[in-house]
Amino acid sequence: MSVSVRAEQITKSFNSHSALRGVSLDIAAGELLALLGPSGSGKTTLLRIIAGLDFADSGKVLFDDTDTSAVTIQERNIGFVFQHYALFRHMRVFDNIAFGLRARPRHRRPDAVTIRKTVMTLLDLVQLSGLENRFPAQLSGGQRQRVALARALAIEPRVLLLDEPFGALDAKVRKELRRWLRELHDRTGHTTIFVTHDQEEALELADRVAILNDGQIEQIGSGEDLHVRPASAFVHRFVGDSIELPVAIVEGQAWFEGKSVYPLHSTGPETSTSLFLHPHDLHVSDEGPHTLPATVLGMRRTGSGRHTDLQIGGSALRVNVALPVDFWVEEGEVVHLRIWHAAAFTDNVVPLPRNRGTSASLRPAVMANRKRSGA
Amino acid sequence: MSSVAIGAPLRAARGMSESKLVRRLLIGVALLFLTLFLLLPLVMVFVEAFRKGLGVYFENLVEPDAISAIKLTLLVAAIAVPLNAVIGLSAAWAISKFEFRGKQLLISLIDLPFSVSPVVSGLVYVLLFSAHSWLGPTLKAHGIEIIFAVPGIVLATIFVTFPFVARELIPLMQSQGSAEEAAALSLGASGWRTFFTVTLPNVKWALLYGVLLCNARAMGEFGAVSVVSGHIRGATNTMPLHVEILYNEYNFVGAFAIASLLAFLALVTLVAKSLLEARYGEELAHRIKH
Repeated sequence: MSVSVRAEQITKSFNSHSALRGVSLDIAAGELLALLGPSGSGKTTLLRIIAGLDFADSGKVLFDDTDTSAVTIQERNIGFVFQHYALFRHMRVFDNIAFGLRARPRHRRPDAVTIRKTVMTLLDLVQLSGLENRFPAQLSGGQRQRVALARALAIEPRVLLLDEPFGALDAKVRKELRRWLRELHDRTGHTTIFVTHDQEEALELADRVAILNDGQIEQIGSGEDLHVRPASAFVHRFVGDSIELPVAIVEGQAWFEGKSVYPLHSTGPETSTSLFLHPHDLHVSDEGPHTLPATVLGMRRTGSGRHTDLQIGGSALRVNVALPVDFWVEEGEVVHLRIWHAAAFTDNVVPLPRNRGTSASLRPAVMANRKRSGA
Repeated sequence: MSSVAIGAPLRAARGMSESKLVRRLLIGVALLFLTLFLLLPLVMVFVEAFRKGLGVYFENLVEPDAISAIKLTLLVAAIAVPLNAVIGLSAAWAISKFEFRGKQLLISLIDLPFSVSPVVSGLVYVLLFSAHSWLGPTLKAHGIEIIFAVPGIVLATIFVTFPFVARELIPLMQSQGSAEEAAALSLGASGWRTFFTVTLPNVKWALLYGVLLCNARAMGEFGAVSVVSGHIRGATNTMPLHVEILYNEYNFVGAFAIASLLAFLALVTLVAKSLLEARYGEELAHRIKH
């Protein structure tokens, strides 16, 4: 039933604006994939192109190795759940769900009894039994969302596509539906692609997450990959809290305010760049060679630890770190932090000012792709 | 503190409402105006029509020229209104669901009949189709009569009443967007099926509303029709034209008898319009709150 989906070098422009610049993507049959990115990153455009609601300027979309470029949306047999559900407002819930079956050509159209049975089964699946005679306006947001899903599932789609499926719901309903959708996917096994700008939603729900930025895919991977092995500064900034420490790279070491704070093991020209780390990569230690001095600005006790606002060195950089409960510091006190894990990316490297001759140009290949060291 | 907080809106409310005298004066002026300019003429139409009794009233209605005028008016409306409903719906559909070059121009063109004097639009048809126009000889050779004949009256009526349906539908269809249509297509429905099961039901009341106004205008149109009709009694006279002829002949009872039919049509339209607005207000374009 479900198919694998492959996008090959998709490009798409609207007027002069490039929405997609050569996007390639492979989704296995039965996989649940999230397209995550800020608004305007092209994620919805990509979803609509896969659906056949939009057409790529170049590139192909393949369902199970079959090129769908010439296949109309009616023939693609995809289940599409729209951002605002797009339920047929003048039809009852039952007729909404039955629409796709009734729209089939006569020789493939099930009889009324079968349609009724199918719709009732789906209503049961989306936990809306008894509401089949309501109009969409008489349903809550979460109920409408589930009707939209049942309507899309009724045509036994080869691929299920969801555009910001939880965007219009309040936080509590959103969480419930998220868990429910994951269970539903595990039960029905549809190849599913959904668009979201909410990283928590993407990471919690999807098998893999594709991060889009400015019409390109920055990285595809599991939540583990995105957190531990971010492919670019953009991914690091987008996933989780990100701290950027401005450092100079000299002799394979990251230097901050005249002190080596992290070994990068890089051998390249001297550059200035940012060291990317998450708050949980900072640990309190004794003063030593690879430590950062930080001044305590304030503390708040939470269940898991003591959230402490720290000012790094003499800079204006402020971070919020969860310190162990048994570690007691006073406001104004200086603590020393050791960086357990950090990354530098080639996409924001600038040569140090002393290389005056080349300071105007970026030198992207200074550090081979990405340097990091285990904690 | 609390007294200030409560006092402020009270003062504001008092400041914004007028004194009793001013309020009564304003309401009185409005009522007087409505009575003088709207209600009185309507009452006068019926008073004049029935001045010589019911018998004379009906005699004037069943007189052959009057019957002919009524028939012609009904015929013209029966052709112009459905055509404008279909064309207006198509135009609204194209404008609200698709992006294309010249869309803005099309929207302006739809409004053109509202901004052009009906007499001018009638004259345009005379210039296009009369015996002395460049199309005239060709038409004459094929035996086609447009000006001073029924086709000309139909054309002029279509032109004048075109905007009613389109203008009612465009804002509504634009506000509804095309998401439901996209959903129908993704579920495998054909374009026609999508139109008849999704698009059309979503605008049916607005369409009826537009048709109602279109019909009232089609039956009541005077200016454009007057120019192209030629006022041939029993042949090219519509009801409004017949009213004029009778009035010019000092047959006041006859004129007002026909006029009373038009007034009655106006009343029926008004009631139907109010019912639609009360019942389906949310589905009519001009009630949409943005």
